Amino acid sequence: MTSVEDRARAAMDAITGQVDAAPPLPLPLPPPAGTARRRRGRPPQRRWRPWLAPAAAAAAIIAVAVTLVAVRNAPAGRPASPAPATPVNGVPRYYVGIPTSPHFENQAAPEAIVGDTFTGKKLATVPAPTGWRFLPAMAAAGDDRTFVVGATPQSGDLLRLARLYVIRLTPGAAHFATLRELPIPAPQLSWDYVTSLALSRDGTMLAVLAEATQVRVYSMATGALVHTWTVTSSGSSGLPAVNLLSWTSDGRRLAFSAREVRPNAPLNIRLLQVYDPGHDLFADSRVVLKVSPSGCGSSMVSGDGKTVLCGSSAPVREPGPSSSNKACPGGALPQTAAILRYSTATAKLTGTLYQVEGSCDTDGTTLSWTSDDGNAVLGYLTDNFGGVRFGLFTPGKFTPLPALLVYATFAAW
Amino acid sequence: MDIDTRGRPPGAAEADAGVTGLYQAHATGLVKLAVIMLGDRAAAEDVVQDAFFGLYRNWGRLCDPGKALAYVRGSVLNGCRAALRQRARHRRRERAAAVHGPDAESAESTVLLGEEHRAVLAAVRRLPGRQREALVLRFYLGVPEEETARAMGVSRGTVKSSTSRALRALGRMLEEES
Repeated sequence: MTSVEDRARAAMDAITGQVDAAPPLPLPLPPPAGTARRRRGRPPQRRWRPWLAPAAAAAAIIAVAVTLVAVRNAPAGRPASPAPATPVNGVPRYYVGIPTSPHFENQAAPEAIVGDTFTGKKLATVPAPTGWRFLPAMAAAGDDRTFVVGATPQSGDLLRLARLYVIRLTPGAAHFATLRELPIPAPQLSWDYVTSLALSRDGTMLAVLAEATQVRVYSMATGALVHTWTVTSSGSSGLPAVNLLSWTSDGRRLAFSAREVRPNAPLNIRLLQVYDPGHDLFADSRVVLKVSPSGCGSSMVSGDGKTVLCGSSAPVREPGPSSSNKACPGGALPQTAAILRYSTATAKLTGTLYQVEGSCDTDGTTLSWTSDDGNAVLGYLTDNFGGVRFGLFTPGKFTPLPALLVYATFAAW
Repeated sequence: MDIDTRGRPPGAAEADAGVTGLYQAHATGLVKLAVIMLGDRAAAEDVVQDAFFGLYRNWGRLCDPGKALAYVRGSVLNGCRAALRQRARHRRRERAAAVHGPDAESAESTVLLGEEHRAVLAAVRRLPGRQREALVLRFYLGVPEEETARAMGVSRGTVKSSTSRALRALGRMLEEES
C-alpha cells in the first residue's frame, strides 16, 4: 500500500472515529411536505434533485387500472390536445420519459409521461396496463410521434422485459397519446436495458439487444423477425458490452458501441449494414471510430451516418512544470468538457461542436439526441456537485431548455 | 422504539419497521460517509436523516426492500452534493466580503484533528466530486463496485477510473504541499 493510501485512510479514520452513533430518527414523519426538518436552528436545506422538476417530483403516481388506449391528458382547464408540433431546427418537440430513479433497484414505473422539450410542461400521462409497469427501455422514431417502451410484470423478476408497447402521439386528436401492445416477443435484457432498443427513423423497424448476446431486428407492423446477429467473443475477456445507439436516416445501417470488459479497453463505434447477409455482429459491421472511454463517455451517430458525436471531458493541462497547473484552489486541475465530432469515413476528429471553458466545477456532457447532420444535439452538462443543465447544443452555442420531467437518461426523443 | 400507528395508512407499519431497522444498522456508517464529504457533523447528520425520511416516503415504491440500503446511500450522496453546491454558491456570493477556506469545516471537527489529517481531508475535499465519492465509497468504505456505481449513478468503469484518478490527484496535491 502506498503512502498516499495510508495517509488517506488514516485521515478518514481520524474524522470518522469521532462518529460513534447517529441521532435517533423519529417516525412517523411530522407535518407534510413543505415543512423541512430543522435541527439546532439551522435553516431548511433545499433538496435539489437535478433530474426531476419539482412539479413532477411532487406529482402523485397513481396506478390506474386501464388496459389500453385511455390516457390522462393535461390538467383540467387546458386544451385537451396541444397544438401540432412546430420543430425548432428539426429538434423534436416531444419526448417520452419514465418517471423513476436510478437509485431504485427496480426502476419500473406505473406510467410514462409525455413532455414538451421547449416548455418543460407535461402534456400527457400514459398509465401502464393493469399488472404491468414500464421500464426505462425506450426508443423513438424520427417522426416526433412514435415511441417504443418496454414493460415488465408488476411482480415479476427484476429487469425482465416481457412486453413492448408503442406510444403514438396525435396532436389535435381527441386522444393525444395512445398505447398499443406490439406483436414483438420481448426478450430478456441485460442490466444495460436503457440502451437495448433502437427504432428506425421511419418507425418501421425495431432493433433489440437481447440478453446481451444477440441483436434482433423486427418489423414494427407485423412483429416478424427480420434478422439476427450474434455477439461473439473476441478474446479471453468474454463477451463485449454492446449498446445500441441509433439507425441512420436511410434505414439501412444500425449504429452501436462495443467495448471489451477489461481495463483500458477502447470503445468501438460500429455501423452494421442491416440488409447484408451474415449473422456475426462484429464480422458484419465496420468500426467507424475507436476511442478511449474517457474521450467518448456519451456517443451518438448523426442521422446521415457521417459523424460520430462524443461527449468528453478532460483535465485542462497548461504546458510547463506541474506546479504551474494550479487553476483550482489547492492544486486540483480544472476540467473542460466538449462535444467532439469524428468522421465515420476516416475516424478522424473533424471539429468541436461545443466546448465548455475549463473550470473547477465542470464534470462532463451527455448526449440524448442528434440531428441528421450532427449539428444540433440535445443533451446536458453536469458539474461536480451533481448539477444538471439540459439544453440544445449547436456549433459554439448552448441554449438552456427547461428541466426535464424525468432523469435525462430515462427519456427518449 | 414505540411507534404510534393510530390513523396511519396501510403499509406504514411495515415502512416504520423497515426504515427503523435499516437506520439502526447503517445510519452511523452513513453519517461517517457524509462527514468525510462535508467536514461538518451536524450537516452530515441532517443529510442522513433527510435520506431516511425520503426512504420512508418512498418505501412502497421499493419493490425489493432488501435494496433499500442502496437507495438511501444514493440519497446521502445526493444530499452531500446539494449541500456542497449550496456552500459553493454561498462562497461565491461572499468572496469579496469575507475570507473562507476551500472547505467550511465545523470548528469542532477541526479542533479534534491533527495537522496532517486536516491537510489530507482538505485535499480529499478539493477533489472533483465524482473522484471524491469514488474514493470514499469504494476505496475507504469498501462498498462493492456495483453498489458504488449505483449509488453514484455511474458505470462500474467510471467507479474504477474515478478511484484511481482520485488517488493520483490526492498524491499530487499532498506532494506539492509538502
